[in-house]
Amino acid sequence: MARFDDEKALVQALAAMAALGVRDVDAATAYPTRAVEAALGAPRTRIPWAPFTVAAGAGLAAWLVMWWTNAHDMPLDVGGRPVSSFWTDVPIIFETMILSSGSFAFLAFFLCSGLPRLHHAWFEANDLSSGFWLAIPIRTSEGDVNVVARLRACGALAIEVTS
Amino acid sequence: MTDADDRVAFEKRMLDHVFVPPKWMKPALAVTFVITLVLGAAVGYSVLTGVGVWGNQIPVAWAFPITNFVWWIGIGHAGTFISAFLLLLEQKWRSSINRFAEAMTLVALLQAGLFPIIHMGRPWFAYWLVPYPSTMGVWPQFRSSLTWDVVAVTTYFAISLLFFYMGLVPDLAVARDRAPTRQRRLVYGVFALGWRGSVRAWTRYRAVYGMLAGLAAPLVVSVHSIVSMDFAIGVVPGWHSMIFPPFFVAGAIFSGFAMVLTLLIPARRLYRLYDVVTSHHLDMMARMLLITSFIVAYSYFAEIYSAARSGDTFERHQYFVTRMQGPIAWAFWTTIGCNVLAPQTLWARSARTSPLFLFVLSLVIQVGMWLERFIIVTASTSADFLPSSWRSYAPSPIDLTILGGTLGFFMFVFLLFLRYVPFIPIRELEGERS
Repeated sequence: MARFDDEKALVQALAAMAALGVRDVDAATAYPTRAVEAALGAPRTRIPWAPFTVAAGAGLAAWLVMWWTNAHDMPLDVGGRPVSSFWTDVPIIFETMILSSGSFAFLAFFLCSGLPRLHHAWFEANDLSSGFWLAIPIRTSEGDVNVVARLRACGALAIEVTS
Repeated sequence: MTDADDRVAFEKRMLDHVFVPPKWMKPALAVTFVITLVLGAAVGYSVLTGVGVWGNQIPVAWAFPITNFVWWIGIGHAGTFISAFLLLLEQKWRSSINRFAEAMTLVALLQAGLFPIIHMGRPWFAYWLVPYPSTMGVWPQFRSSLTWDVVAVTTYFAISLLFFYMGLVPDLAVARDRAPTRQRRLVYGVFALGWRGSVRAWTRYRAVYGMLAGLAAPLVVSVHSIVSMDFAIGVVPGWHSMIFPPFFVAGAIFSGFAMVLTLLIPARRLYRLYDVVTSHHLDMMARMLLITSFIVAYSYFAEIYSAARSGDTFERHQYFVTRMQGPIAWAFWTTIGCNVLAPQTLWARSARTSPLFLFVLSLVIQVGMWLERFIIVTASTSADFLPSSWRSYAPSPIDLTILGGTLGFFMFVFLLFLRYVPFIPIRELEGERS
C-alpha cells in the first residue's frame, strides 16, 4: 500500500500503474473524488435501478393489503363512502414505496460494498484515515521493484506491506 | 504543512469536541434528564389515570397533543430539507450544518411520535394500527388519516435515520481511527461497520446517498401534506381547505429552520466553530426564514380571503370572530406578530448575520409557529357548525408539563448526540475544502 498526500498524486500513481500493466489496483481516499474514480476505472453502480422495482412491488402490495382488508375481508360502511378508494390509498402507497426503496438501497449499498466486516488487510496500514492510498497485490517478482520505484517517483510518502 | 497534515489537524479538532466533552455538558445533561423524568411522570400519570387529566373535551378533542404533534413534526422537516433538498440543489453551505439538522429531525420525530400514541388514551393498543392477522378479525381502517399518519411518520423516521447513519459512517470510521481509548475505538469501530474509504465503496456511496436524498425530498413534502390532511379532510370551519398541504409544508420548514438556528448558534459559540459555521451560513439560513415567512404570510392571507369570499357564515365567523376577536385572539395576533412581522427585520443584513439577534428571533418564530398550530387545532373545533356545542378550551397543568417535558427530552437526546457523535460532517467538509 502506498500513501499519497493528495488526490492529484494518487491519480498520477494510478496512471503510472496502468502504464506498467499492474492489475488488481485498488485505492482508498479520505473523501469521494471523481478524478480518482475515473483513474481507477471504477464502474458505475447499478444499485439505484433495483429500488425502483422494489418500490413498485411494495406499492402494489400495500394497495392489495388495503383493498383486501378494507374492501374484501372487513368492509365497513362509513357514511356511505366507497369501501375501497384509490385516492384515499395514495398516501400509504406512496409512503410504502419510499420506505421500501430507501431501505433496499441502504442495505444494497452495504452488502455490495462488503460491509459490515470485522477486519481487512488495509486496517493494518498506518493511519488509513488520513491519506490517499493505492493498494496493489505483491507478486514477489522483479517487476515489483520497478513498481515501488515508480510509486516513489509519483510522490508516495510511505509504502507499507499488509497481510 | 502538507494537505494530509491539514486534514489530520482538522479531524483532530473536530473530534476533540466529542472525545473531550466540554465542562458544561454534564450539568446540561443532568438538568435535561430531570426534565425528561418529569415528562415520564406526567405521561405515566396520564396513562394510569386516563386522558381526563388533560384539558381535552368535546368538542376540542384534539387539543394540546395534536398541536404538539404537528409542531414537533414540523420542526423536523428543516433537517430533511437541509440534507436532501439542498444536497440535490448542490448548495455547498449546507455541509457544515446538515448533521446538526438531521439529528434535530430524528430527535424532534421522537417527540412528535409520542403524542398520537398517548392521545389514543390506551397506548398499549397502539399496535392495532398495524395490519396483522389478529384473532379478533378486525383490520385498521385505511380511509382514516390516523393510519396515514402512522405510515408517514414511521417512513419519515426510518428514511431519516438511514440517511443520517449513511452520512455518518465515514466519520465514524475517522473517529474509530483517532479515538484515544480502546473502548471508544471498539464502539466507533462497530458502528463504522468496517468502512475503509475504498474508492469503489465511495462510488456506490455517492450514488446511493444521492438516491436517498432524492427519496427524502418528496418524502418531506408528503409527510407534512399528510399531516395537514388530518385537518383538511375534516369538514370543520377553518380546516376544509385545499391550501393546507403547501401551507403546512412551508410552515414546517419555517419552524424547522428556526430550531436549527436555536441549536446551532449556542453550539457554534460553545464549541468555537466560527470557521465552520460562518456568518455566511447564518445569512443563508436567515434568508430561508425570510422566504418561508412570506409563504406562511401568504397562506394566512389566502385563508382569510377565502373565508371572506366563501359565503359561508361559519367559515367567516371562524376567522373574523373566533380567531380575531375570540378568547384566543391574543394567540392569533401573537402568531401574526411572530411569523409575519418579526421576520421582516431580516431584510437588514446586520440582522441576518447577528447571532444573538437570530437566536432571539428563532425563539420568537417557534413560539409563533406553536401558537399557529394551537389556533388551527383548538379554535376550529371549539366553534364548529353546531353553536350549541361551542366551548372554549384551556390546557391543564398536565398538558403544560408534557409540552415542557418534551422540550427537556428533546434537549437531552440532542446533547447526547453532541456528546458522542461527530456532529460536524468531517469527510464532507474535507471534500469541499480540497
